[in-house]
Amino acid sequence: MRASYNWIRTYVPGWSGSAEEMAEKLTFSGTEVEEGEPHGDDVIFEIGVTSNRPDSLCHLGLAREVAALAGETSQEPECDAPHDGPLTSEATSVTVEDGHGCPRFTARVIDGVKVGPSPDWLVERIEALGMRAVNNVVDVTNFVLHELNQPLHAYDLDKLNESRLVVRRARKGEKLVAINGNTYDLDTEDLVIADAESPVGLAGVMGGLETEVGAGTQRILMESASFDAPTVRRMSRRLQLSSDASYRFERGCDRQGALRASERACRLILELCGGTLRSDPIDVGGAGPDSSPVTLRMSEVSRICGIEVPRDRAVAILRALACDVDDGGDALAVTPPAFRADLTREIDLVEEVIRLYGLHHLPVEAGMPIMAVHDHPERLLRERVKDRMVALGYTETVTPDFVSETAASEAAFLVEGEGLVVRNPVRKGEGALRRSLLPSLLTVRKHNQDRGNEDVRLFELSNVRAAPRSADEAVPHLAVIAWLTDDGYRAARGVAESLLEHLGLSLSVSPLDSPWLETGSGGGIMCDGARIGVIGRPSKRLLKDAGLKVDPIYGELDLAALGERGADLRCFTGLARFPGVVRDLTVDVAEDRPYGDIAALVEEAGLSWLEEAELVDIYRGKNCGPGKKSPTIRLTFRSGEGTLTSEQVDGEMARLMDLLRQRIDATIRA
Amino acid sequence: MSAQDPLETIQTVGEACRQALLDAEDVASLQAARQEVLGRKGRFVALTDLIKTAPKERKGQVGQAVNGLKKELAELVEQRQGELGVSAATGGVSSIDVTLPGTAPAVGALHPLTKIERHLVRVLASLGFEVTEGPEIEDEFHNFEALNIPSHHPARDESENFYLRGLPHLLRSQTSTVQIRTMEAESPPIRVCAPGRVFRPDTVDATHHYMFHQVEGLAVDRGITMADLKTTLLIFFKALFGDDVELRLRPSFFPFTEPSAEVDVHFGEKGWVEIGGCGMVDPNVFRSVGIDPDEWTGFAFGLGIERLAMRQFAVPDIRYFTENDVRFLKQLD
Repeated sequence: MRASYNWIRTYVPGWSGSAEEMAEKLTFSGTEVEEGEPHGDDVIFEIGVTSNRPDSLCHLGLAREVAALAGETSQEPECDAPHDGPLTSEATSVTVEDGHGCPRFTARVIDGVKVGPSPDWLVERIEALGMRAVNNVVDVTNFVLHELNQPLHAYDLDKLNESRLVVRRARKGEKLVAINGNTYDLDTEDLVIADAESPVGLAGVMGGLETEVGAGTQRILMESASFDAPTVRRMSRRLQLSSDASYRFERGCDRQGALRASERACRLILELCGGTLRSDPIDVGGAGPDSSPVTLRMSEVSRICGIEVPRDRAVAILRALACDVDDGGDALAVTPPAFRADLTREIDLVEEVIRLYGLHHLPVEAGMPIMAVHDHPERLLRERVKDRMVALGYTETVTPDFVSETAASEAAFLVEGEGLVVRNPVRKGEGALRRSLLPSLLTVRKHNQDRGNEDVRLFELSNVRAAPRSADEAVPHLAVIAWLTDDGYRAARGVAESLLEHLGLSLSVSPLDSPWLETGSGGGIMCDGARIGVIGRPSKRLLKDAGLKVDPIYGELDLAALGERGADLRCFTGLARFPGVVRDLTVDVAEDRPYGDIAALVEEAGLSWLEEAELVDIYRGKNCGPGKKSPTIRLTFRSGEGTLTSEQVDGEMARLMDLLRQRIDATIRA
Repeated sequence: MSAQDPLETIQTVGEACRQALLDAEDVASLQAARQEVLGRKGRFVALTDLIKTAPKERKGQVGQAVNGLKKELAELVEQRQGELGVSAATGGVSSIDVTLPGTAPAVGALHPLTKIERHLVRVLASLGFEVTEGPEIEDEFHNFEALNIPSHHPARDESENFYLRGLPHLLRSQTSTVQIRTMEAESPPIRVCAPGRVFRPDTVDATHHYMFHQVEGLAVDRGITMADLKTTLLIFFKALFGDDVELRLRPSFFPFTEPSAEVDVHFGEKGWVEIGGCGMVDPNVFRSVGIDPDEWTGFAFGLGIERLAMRQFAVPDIRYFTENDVRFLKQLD
């Protein structure tokens, strides 16, 4: 909100500081002055008023704060106006059909005004705030809004059908041309001010063009009302129409002050435009209940704040904030002013006292007891996995959970169910919540491709999710570790193997068909008989959609599955004491024979003393004939009891070779 | 050469090769000799060709001789290398050109936000705050109601939050939700911190993103005061930024704390910077989770992790964190 330093000062005659000092006082009591910009001999403040303090959305409100902070007294503006005319009710009437939407509606009438330009002082005030001066009547309503935080609206009474107003919900098909010249189609939840026939104003938001005050206006009706905040907010959002009035009604205005504010406006209009104010203004709904007293115990101030604020200081602070304080009992009985609707509980008063006493008075003294801190097992696992990925040469990414609502957003491997979409994405069409990290990592890979980064190895550890079965359920999430590398399949698989080995686990991979992986190039990562992840080449379509020129491999593992199976602590198992015997075995097998079949037979053979079987190489060429390949497996045998002899190992090798010949028609090479 | 018996040729060439290797006087000349003998264009290549050209019935014999010689020469190279290397060490001649550049091993990197988050959690743990977490997708009770943000409050507006289509859930707009989750599950005394992602539909620019990270702190006990809050924050920032750091609390408003304050810190030469919000847990929040506000008091704070990271790493634009250019990520590791 913009506010004028000079204007604020008019209500604090005792203020002797500078604009900077005022800004600082306000900022350090909770009303943040974000900027101060020189404007002639004035300074225009940009102020961030917190949502609990609508009373500070005007110059008098700010002046009250300043006075309380500076130990001065604020001076209220002159409001009394002579009510010399006949009864208001003889000129107009007001019917409120919706008392919830409009708890109070007051109307005053001035006859015989002369509309014209405003005097310089008023134009200066209006323009200092960045508004445009219109005419003396409209400018006065804007002035009072910024003085007292009460939005007002002046109607040309002679333009109102039957000279009366009705506050009601709009009827189907009704429209209104507002004073900004735009036409608004209304719905039946919109609250309007209407004359006998049709709407003449959007309640709390903006008046109508047709009944606005202009050069020819002679009689005005001054509206000063109180509107339900959610009703105003709904209409303002729906019509995408925000105004100084709607901004204030959405935050709450002082219902009790409505009549006084319109009297203030009428007093100024009589001064500037002449005319006669009618007596007995119309007041539908009335001022409402008075504020109730709130008890404040000084012991509560110290219990919450950890500092003893002297009682007389607290009393002085609350009185400076226009509270009525009864200091007679053990506790203070505090009745806040009507414009401080935020003060209803003891804690609200504790805050007022410490806020003005000053948070810099709070002592710094370590007094909290020590407490034990336990590990968080899931976080520990995540840290372990991340650290391992870094050790494997991978770089961690952090990407938003949102992905474009394209084919890639459908990608899912480890979660089942419909995808989730947010209602109002920041960019249209980018509101899908990912079910896999694949689309995110492809996007990051593309970003790096565009910047010429090569040999990129990425990983991310984040949550993926799909819709719950019913709306009553919480939305489940699954933490996954995903990686994307240019290094090829065996290197990518090596990452999974290394990760699992780190957790004391081992894996196998079996072919898997997935629409998101290239046909014949996808695998399910299996551990203890369960599929805990996937690995493979992303489909050509996804790569093309992502604009990638490289051909990376993607892997994704369910972190919870690792956590359930993995070992927390590893124990030293000793080192081998006797030398091992190493044998290379090369076999010719059919080209379409998966290596996994050979590995499975090695396992099935149950070879004694076998420590490790490792694939060294796969040879293809004229020596092994067409349609064949020759993998070489290096087998290491080792006994814990002594050095193995060649004969011992030969026997085991012979068993394996027989098995390979019989079961997969392998030819053993010498 | 074809006139000569292949075995004789092998013997002659072999002798010359042996001599060349034996003649080398230092590591460098041994390398040169090795190249001359066993290199791609060395003398030995001609011997290998002998196997191809040999008559069929002698192929085995010739092959055996060639391979035997090759093995012998390789062993000789190794043997000479050992001898000359030792003499090089004593003779002051280097066998490695130590001015050669290294080859780069594949090095990974943690994301800077992870590094900062770990640092924050480590420091908070030292002050007795146990790390905990909460869901990133929340219901309105935990994101609003329990935090003293009633229905119709502007903060609940559709345009201010990421609500899910067709479901009554939303992506949490603050980590304060974890306060509620923790107090529902545990009885006081409580002291936790909760780092995590939060989401608000802000337009992305150099200092704003619709996804960012916060760390929340919550302490509930008998006799916890706002002075304890100030003390805790000051010690926390000293541990983070050094003992010269200054702390300033500026009154503010949050629905879930009262009194509330903005947290400003001053360190180095960079002036005051707003780093988060804090306050005393509002009695309404305690009531919503069944904790008696007359018996217990508590404080809470929430700090923006990106803001800390940008300051710590001198990153000028928040978008670097989510674009993930590997050069950026590795630079900060």
